[in-house]
Amino acid sequence: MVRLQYRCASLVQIALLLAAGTARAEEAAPAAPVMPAAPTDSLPGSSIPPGLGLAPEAPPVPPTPGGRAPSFGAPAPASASSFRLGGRLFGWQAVGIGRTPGTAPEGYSGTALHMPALSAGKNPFWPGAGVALNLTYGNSLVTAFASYYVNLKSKEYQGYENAFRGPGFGTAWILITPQPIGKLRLQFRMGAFSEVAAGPGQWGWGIYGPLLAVRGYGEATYGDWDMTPDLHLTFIHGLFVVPGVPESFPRGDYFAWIETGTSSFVNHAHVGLTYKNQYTFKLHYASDYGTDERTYLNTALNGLPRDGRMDTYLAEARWISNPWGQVGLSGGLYNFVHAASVGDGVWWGIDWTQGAREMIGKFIGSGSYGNGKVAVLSAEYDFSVAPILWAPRSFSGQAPDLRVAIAALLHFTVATDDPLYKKASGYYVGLETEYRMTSLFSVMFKSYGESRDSNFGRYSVYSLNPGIAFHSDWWSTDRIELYYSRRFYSIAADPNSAQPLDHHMVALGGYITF
Amino acid sequence: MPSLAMAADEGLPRLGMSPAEPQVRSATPSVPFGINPAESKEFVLDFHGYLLLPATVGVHDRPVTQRTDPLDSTKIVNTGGGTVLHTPPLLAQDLRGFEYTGAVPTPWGQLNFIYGNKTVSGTVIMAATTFSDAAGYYNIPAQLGVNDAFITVNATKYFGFPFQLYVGAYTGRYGAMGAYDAGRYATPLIARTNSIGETITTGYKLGEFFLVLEEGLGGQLGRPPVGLIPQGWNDFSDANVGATFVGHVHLGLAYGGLGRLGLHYLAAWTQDDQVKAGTVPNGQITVLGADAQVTAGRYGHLYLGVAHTKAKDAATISGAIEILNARGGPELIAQYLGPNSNGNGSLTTFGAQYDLSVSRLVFDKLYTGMSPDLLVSLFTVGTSVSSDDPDYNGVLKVKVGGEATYLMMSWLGVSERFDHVRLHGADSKKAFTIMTTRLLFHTGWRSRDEFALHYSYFQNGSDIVAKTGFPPGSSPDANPDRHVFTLSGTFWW
Repeated sequence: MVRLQYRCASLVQIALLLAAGTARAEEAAPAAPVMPAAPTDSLPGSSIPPGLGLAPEAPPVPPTPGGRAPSFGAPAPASASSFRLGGRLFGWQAVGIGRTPGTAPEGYSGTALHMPALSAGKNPFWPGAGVALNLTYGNSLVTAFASYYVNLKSKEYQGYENAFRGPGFGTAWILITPQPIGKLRLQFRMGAFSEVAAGPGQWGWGIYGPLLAVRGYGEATYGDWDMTPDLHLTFIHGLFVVPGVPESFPRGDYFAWIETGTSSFVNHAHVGLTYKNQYTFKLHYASDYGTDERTYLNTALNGLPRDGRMDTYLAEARWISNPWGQVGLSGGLYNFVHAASVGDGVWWGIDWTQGAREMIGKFIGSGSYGNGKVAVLSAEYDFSVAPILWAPRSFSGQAPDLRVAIAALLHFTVATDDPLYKKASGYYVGLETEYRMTSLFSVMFKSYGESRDSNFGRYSVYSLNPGIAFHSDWWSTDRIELYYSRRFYSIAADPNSAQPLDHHMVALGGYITF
Repeated sequence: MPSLAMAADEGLPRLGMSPAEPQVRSATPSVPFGINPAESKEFVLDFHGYLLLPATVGVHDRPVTQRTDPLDSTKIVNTGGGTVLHTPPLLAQDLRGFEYTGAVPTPWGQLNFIYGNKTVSGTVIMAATTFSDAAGYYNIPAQLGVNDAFITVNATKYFGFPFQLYVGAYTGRYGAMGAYDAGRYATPLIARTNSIGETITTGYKLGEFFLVLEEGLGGQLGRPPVGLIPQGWNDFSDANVGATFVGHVHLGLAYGGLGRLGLHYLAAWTQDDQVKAGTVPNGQITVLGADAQVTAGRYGHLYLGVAHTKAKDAATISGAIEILNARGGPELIAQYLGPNSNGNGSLTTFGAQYDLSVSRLVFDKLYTGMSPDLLVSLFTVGTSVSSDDPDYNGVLKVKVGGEATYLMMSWLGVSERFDHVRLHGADSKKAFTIMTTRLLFHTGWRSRDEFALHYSYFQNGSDIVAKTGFPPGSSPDANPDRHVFTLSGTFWW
């Protein structure tokens, strides 16, 4: 964390610089007799700096709705706020060792190397290189947050200019935390952000991720109520809108392939109980409603446009106990009704699958025309061996340790109009272990598997991923990692013999969070 | 090895340039890159920002369309119809056109990073009109990246009178109708410059009077490559604009704390032989303007302004200059002068805004802004078009509005805003009215944060069209929304 010196818009300096509405680093300059007096407030009629134009620092926007709040750079009561710069720097390179194509001409020899690797299924790392900056400014009452993504995208590193890799704003929100009302604490968030739920991992995510993430422009209200000293009630409700894309948008050209002509509206609600900070039970509901305004295009499933929805009903249970670790269990149902007309208000479903369209393609089939139901159950057990061995002494993490995460996810197609996906099912399994030998070095082994029904038969990918990691301390947030990956595919996962997927992969990368 | 670490490892042989050093061919900075800022006593890093984050929904009457059933090509079926919600709303609110009022907010975010001391500072502003985690698609031009970058020098202490120099890429906005913003229409009345260059501001005090002089000169970093095809990724750029330069000079006279008079002259021109292989004449846009700000204490704040914009063969003028938010000659032609004008014509523009705090009016200096208040604002902008295109010549465009905001509690307020826009004189078919009701939530009487719930009702004339499609264009088939709901959050620091 970096705390930087902050000074609010200096009134004296504004006057000195003869420009309205500025906000700069400068300290108050020494008073000079030739200077006009600095304005003292922003109420209508108060004197303003004698500048001839608007300062370049000011945003090109009208005053705050209603004109109540002081505009940018206007004199305003000083507040004791702080600035925090956090983020994550990361860089990964994965090389795939290719196989001889089935269509190779006579005399073909050599080993193909692919970069990025040609592979399917889960990897033990997040590919790419760049930085995600998280900037927070505020105090205990009002906080502003913005994340800014910058990825390598130039010809020098990417091989081609990939404009979709930023830089750009990802998330931004304003959070208001009023004083508690008795035992009730409330928060209100407004902006462009996402909400994540039902991840069975210890920190709400897990190896196969949350079962639900919703996103868009909108608001969320958070409540916490201490019912008893041991029993804690939480609730969240939010509304999101995801802007639609013009029907005439050129898909598949320099833009990614996106669904056009639909708008998404998300209503989501969550309620949870926590007992003694050890047992947690939560219920989650989200409805992503899509209106379809296509006048000449059909849906991605070649159906006529009509309004649709995707409803998600999930339950989540968690048990945390020292030294045994945590067990998380999440499950529920996704219900699709003409969901080919639903956009990406649901950001993630099963295994980070994005939006209704991809959920349909993977779990209820394109012949469903967006109608069906999918049940899901996801579980994860996370534990650390050293605390168990050290018990009843406490383990601080500053010694060798073996950390283990075991996850499994089952899904079952309860209903679909696609005959190929009736009673379709699948599973994901994952094991992640890390043996922290010293404060600087770890040995890792990760293994993943997924198998599910698809249009082309059983789609299966398995991988074995041993690796090593270097870090600067037991608890440091920096890592340099090296993996070898052996990968196995079914025919449905690797159907193109002319360009077979890589069975071997070597990946080197690192990251640091701050 | 990063140069930041070199200071601690001076004995380490250096075999190449540090990857952390700037990859520019210009002279090495006078202060070597890599010095830890915390070791310097004078310079500090500062951070500011602004967020406007609205979720907007339009209530839409979806047209019925007849379609061939993709599953049975012999069958014709009706699709659509009914009343639906959609986002973004379909409105006649193009920021680049006269119809823009700002009554329905759109996203804007910016982060200002400033490094420097009281004499010199560098500013970088990163900005966007979208946030990719919430957007329907990754719109490259909407992520503005580093939108402004400039160096500011305050040489007052060296000259003995106010002297400020801007060098870099930044905007100049003249005719700002608000006291600290561009006014209710977010439109600089006289002109806006978007250039890389310099601006010098200086002043001199004569008793109660304060004389202000400002001049600037700049151009754009480049021009669209010859033959560039307008596409989404380049924001549908016009390859037929040339390298454009803009020069401007301004004179102001302020009196005590009561107000300020300003005279403005701006000229943008191009003399680029690459435009259509040198077969078109050089273009020019000139603006002559005057404005006045009156800060009358309990009687409020008044802005009055007038400007005359003259365009000559302006089709080749780039967005280095904006007139009423229209960027350069192509948008000036599209929005005001008409396609058959060849970029020749003029605009005579006037505007006014009056802001009043009723509590201050009643209680004068006893009122500090920390108790209930009624804020009243009246605003108008109009422009008369003279053009070589007969269809556009003589058109008068006027918009007027008013807003009353009642702050009843430190955390709650309500406002009612009225806007009426006439795009073609007395022709009511090309006019519309907006009524906007707002509930305002905030953390203090004068806090800089606000959550607002808006409802806007649009009464559209029969010839009012909204731009839709990609690129956005006026479509007479598009049925503009009448009801718009918005939930917005705003905060700056």
